[in-house]
Amino acid sequence: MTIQIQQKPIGSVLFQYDLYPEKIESYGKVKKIYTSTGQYALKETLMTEEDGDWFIHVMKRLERINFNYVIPVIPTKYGDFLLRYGDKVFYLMPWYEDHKEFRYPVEPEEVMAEEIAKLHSLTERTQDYSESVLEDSHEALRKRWGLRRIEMERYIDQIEMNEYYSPFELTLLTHFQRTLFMANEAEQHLKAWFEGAKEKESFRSVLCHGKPSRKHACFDKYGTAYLFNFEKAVLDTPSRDLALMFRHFFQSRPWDEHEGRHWLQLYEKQFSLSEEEKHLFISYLAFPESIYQTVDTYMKKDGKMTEFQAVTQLERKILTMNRIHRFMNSIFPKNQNNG
Amino acid sequence: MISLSTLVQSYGFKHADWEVEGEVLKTEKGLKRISYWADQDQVLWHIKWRDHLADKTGYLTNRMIQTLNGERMILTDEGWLTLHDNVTSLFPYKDREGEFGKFIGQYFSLNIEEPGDYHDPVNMDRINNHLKYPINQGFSEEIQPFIERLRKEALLRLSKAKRLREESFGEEATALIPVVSPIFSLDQGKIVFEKLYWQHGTERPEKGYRSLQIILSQWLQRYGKKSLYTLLYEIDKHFPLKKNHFKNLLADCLTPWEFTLFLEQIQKIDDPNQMEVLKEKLTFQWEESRQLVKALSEWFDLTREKVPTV
Repeated sequence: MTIQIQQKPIGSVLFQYDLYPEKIESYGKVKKIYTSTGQYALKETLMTEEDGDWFIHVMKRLERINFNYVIPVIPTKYGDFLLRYGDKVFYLMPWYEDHKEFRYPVEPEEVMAEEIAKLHSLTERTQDYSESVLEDSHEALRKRWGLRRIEMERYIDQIEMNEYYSPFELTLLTHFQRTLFMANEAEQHLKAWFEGAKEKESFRSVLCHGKPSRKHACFDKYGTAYLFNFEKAVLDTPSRDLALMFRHFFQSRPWDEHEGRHWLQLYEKQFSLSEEEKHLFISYLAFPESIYQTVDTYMKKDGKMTEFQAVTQLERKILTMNRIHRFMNSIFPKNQNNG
Repeated sequence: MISLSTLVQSYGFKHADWEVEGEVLKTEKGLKRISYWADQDQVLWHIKWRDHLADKTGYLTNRMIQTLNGERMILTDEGWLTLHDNVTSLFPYKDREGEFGKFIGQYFSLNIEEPGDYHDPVNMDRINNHLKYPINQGFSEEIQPFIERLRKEALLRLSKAKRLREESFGEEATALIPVVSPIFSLDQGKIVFEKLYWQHGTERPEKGYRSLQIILSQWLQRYGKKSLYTLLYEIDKHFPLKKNHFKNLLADCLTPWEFTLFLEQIQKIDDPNQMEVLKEKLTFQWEESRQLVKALSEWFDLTREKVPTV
């Protein structure tokens, strides 16, 4: 009975692609559809109408500019790219098998850095300079970071009054000054970006993937990556997408500053960042938001994490923060920090 | 007639054969039906209507399948050709007033750009001119009194309909009158994977409530008054019948279009048996109209407008 109910919307969705499934497997929000004509990936997601229109625009633009490192969205037999059922949205792609081992010695991070750089390069646009837009953007981020700092400082004041510290609290107290130092560094780099852009009177935008990560790329056996899930794609500074990708790399595997520089060099071979964009990139990475998020989760005490898990996660993020510090210093040696 | 190879090439089928020559194709993607259109504006309006309807309601309809080049219609020697799925299983409406009411409500409130040309089936002036004098065209003695009696009653219905129209007359009310793809039967509802699939025809867009009248009348005959009220309640959530459309809907239901149709038909026949069949059909339709007006009036809880019994 349950199976029947689950299959009904899928059936009428697939009907619009003239696909008659022989077998369906679920992988989170994606269903792998086996048919006599091949295998397909049906993604179920939530999108407003406006987001849906933008997503279609992005996919069509990628096709127009011949960006080949993308898994295409297949239209229905009526020409629709998205199917809406209430608040749910479906779209279909060919199924790409994701390889973990390749015929050539390539690292997924290297390939992704190059391909994201190609995407940025193909979609680069110099924006009309507006000092007020720049100022607003700088101010908004500075304020947000300021508020986050205050929130964390309050929490530290609160736990300092405890007679005994929990292991998590103790770990946080030990490293809190370090997080404040990194927040300051982030602000300095943000200021350097702002001053640099003001001086140049220009800034540029690119099409940012929005969620660049290993799980949003399928690798073929030769090590070529095909990106998907452009649902959060935006027009923004390349520094943003790059920082998101690096953050993901930092979380997914051990790394050091040499490797970080290597990834950045690979990216810059395809798409060179300006000095102020590098400052912005480093400021995004340096701000210890990731640590603050772990603190938020711990503060909620909603039982999602045990004390041990919370401490482990915090320690891992502190380790990453220290690595980011070394990475930052390798790009901007101390005497150059202020641009 | 369009060749099989043109269709195969245009739509990218691997295999295709005629199931019904010139009408239905059997392909590896299922059965596909061909529609021919003489008027380009009409097909463009239908493409837009069906796309918007599917988008708004989330239900399936016989939308135009696109060619490999992304075109929704092909120009042929016989006019424009469009291709559709051929779905034959009827939708089971029983106990599904909520689902169907929502669909019909959204159908009639779908407001797309008004077509350049549309059919206005309930033209009161035309009907009035047709009925105001005794009709004597050499009918037999058996049929003449029947026609004359119904003519008088039809005029009475028409005058009530006109009064209702006048009461609701105004720019706002006129602007609200729906323009839809015409409906001729509940059997246009098919089923695909437990979901409603609505099959449109190729007729001109239609202004007014004739299609809604047909839906409601057939529903009343099939599922009874209680079910009709549930359906009306659901329709009203999406298409404000009570607030904006009641008088115009009732006026269209009162208009004796079945009688004028009967008059048109009997002029073309001589056979007394056929005449009897048409008489019986008219009596049946007249009674259906009466029952619908009564049921609607009760539901609306307003002044009853009664159709005299034949």
